[in-house]
Amino acid sequence: MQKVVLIILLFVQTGLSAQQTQEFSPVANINNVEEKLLAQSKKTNSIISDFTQKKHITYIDEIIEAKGKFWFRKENNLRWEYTSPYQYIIAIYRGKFFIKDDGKVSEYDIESNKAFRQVNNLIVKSVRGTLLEGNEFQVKVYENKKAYQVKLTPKDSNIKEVLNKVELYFNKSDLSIFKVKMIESEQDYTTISFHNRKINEEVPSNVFIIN
Amino acid sequence: MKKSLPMFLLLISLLFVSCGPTSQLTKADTNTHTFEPPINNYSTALYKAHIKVGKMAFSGLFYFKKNEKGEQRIIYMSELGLTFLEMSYSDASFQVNKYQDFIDSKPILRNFMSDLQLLIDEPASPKRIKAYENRAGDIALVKFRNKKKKNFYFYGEKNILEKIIQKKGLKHVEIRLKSKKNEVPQLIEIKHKRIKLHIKLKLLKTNAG
Repeated sequence: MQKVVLIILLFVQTGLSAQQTQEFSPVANINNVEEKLLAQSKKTNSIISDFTQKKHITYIDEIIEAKGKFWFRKENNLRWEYTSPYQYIIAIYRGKFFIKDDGKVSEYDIESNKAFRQVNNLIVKSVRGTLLEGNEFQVKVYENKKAYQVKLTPKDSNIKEVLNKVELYFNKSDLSIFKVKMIESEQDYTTISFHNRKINEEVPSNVFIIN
Repeated sequence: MKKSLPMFLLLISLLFVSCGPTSQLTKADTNTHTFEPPINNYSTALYKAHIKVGKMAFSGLFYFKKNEKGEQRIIYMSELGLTFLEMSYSDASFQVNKYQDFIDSKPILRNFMSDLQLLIDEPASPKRIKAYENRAGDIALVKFRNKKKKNFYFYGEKNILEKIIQKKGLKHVEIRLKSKKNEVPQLIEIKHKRIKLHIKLKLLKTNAG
């Protein structure tokens, strides 16, 4: 479970808009894209967004959909909440990791657990826009007219056990993420699309207090 | 004393009344009884899951899908969509197609499979069947044996299956169900008595078969 939580927190620096499915080709200068993402992240203090998650299980021809909302506030405060068809909350606040499930809240000290420390580290890197320069992933960047596609292949064996690859899709216009694709196999992957994004709105602390 | 005597008699009579249904069971004809698995009339069903194994607790989702040939697929996944366990079931046997290391334990997988089999398939070759009916003439309890297992199926109003107990040697599993007639259960609770395995499934949505 902790690995899964870790993966989702890759996506805290999110944004969105409706999107493009044109073919992607490799970006000539990855550093250039990274600098743009870094500059954008410096301007982002908070994010509020709705999301739609779709698990595609192609070998049984099924898509399982869930919806929710998330809040993020610098430096590393997060609330990731599913509202339909189930209620489930993951939150990070003041060095603690919270999970609310079936009305029960579980609280963990981030420093007490390696996985939680990794999560925290990833959040900080996401916020600072330095995720692509780390050693955790092999990074490849592609583009089309409207979007960047960043393919992350995990190097960490713990993450690799869960995920084969992660693809992040950024709007070129405002450098916001509009889709994340978590690929377990060609026949089993999950997409998370973001909508109704609000940037730099005030997010009060009580949003991250789970009880 | 005079005041307390009627109260005492009332309590005694209430006690007998409350014991009534179980003490009034009588043997019934077993020829007409059919066993239907609890998760039966469906094409897909999605459950929220809570699993306790020893001191560890897991949450997630259980997804059941039945195809036209009757083959069933069961996927246990995280709320975030990542697959933990994926199995197919046909001809009374499971095939495990994928699992994560935290459930890489033969006893856990074996118990998962035998519990799920009770939910999605009718019992194979039931023998020495004994049925009992209540005062209204409805079947309330069916006992039988199969493959050295003792099975007890408890029925409530409208002949809805409410509880299954299965015993084999030291193994003892109890499954409690909350269902409406001809619908997949809203709530399933599986408790093992000799091992620390507890599974709770709450129905999120389903499509009829």
